[in-house]
Amino acid sequence: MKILLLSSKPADIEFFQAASAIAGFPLVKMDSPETVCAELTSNPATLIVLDTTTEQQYKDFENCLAEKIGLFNQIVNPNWMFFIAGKELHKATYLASSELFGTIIPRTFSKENQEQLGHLLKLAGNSANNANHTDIARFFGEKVKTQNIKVTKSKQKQAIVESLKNHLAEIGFKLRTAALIASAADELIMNAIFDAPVDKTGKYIYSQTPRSAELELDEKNSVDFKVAFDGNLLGISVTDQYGSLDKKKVLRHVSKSYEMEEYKVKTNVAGAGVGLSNVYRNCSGIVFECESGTRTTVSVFYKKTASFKEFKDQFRFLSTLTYFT
Amino acid sequence: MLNVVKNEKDDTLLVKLSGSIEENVDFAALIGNPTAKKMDIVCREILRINSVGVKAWVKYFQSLAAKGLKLRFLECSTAIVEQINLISNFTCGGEVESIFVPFCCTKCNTELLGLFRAADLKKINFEIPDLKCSQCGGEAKFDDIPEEYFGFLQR
Repeated sequence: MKILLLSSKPADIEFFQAASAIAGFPLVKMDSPETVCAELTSNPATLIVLDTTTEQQYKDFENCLAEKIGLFNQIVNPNWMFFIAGKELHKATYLASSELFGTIIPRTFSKENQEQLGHLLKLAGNSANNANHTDIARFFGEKVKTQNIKVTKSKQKQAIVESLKNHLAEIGFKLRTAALIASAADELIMNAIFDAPVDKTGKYIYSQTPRSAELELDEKNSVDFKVAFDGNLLGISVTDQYGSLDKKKVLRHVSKSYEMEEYKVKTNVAGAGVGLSNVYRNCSGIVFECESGTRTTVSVFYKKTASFKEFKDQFRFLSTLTYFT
Repeated sequence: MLNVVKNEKDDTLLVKLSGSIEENVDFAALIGNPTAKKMDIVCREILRINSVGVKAWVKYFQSLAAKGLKLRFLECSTAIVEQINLISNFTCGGEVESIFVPFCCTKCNTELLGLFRAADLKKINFEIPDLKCSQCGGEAKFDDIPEEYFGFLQR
């Protein structure tokens, strides 16, 4: 496995050289979409990092890919695609709607994010092997203790969210930050309980069930909640046992902005449709891993910061990894 | 869990909300169907609101606004200000009278809040003066990104 980087920006080159070293994959600099496609054809086991700050840059690559390899092919794996973009995801709709979407990395990274990205590159590089489906434990390694909670009743959520908030305040997170992280846990657990379960035909079982319903969650419906903290970075992950994640839908929700557009209350579904967008806007990175028909894990990362301003302004990425069994 | 305290005076119903707004909150049951012409909603003690809570909030206050009730939001907590910024129609046409502004002490790192009227924030062009820390007397600075926290006042 190697990493192809198509970017002429020195900051990108320096950053990904360091991140790829952490991932353990060699980095090869490319100078055009054509050379990337040629390299892909001869060696498909390749992670690709592209400067797609503008839509034109993305289109140039997509057009080249369509011409040289074909858009629908066995060579390009979206799990291996990394798009470097501007700060705001909702402004990069051309990426969120792309069939090639794997990971978006807004260009707000700095040296301290190299390790985080290194782990992510490694995770993506190893994603061809389904056995590697993982959660936050792999990001943090064995030295960091992971706390696990199995959610077997929907009403447990409230206690988990409150305990997490109090725990974060105790370990030095700002109260506002702790509340935001607790809210993210709230949204992810709710999604796993109510939005993940599907029947044999793929129909969402609880799409119209009020979110206040008290459900008993048997083994298939149970949800795993994990927390890990290395003193600087906190990770939480939520796993359901369905693997029903609709990548397009998730990207639509995450990238949706209601700052200018009116939020319309939909009465035909019980969910609100704004939870994931809030989770992404207030985190340092989010990874959706879906093992189709088996399980989905959503992992979210948070940097412990001295001020809330720093917390809000932190680097964040969005990654989707899908495995088909 | 959300607690509601109501007090009607003249043509205005004053509603004080405290706690978390989540999937169990039923605004219609808690506040009812007001007959007053105006409603002042005090939001200082709303600590958290999740997405299902946002949906319930917009649905309820939109229905009141549609009936011609004039809504005014007072002493909005940081959690509510975040939602006002994220969801353009979160206030359902109502007026935001005042908000809490977050500060952090540069000396002891204590988190503090200052209450500001929206009109006054506009007058000072969102250049927030430092506060004196109530814990150590140090200098507390505004702790958020101005363009984001005051974004709704500049739309």
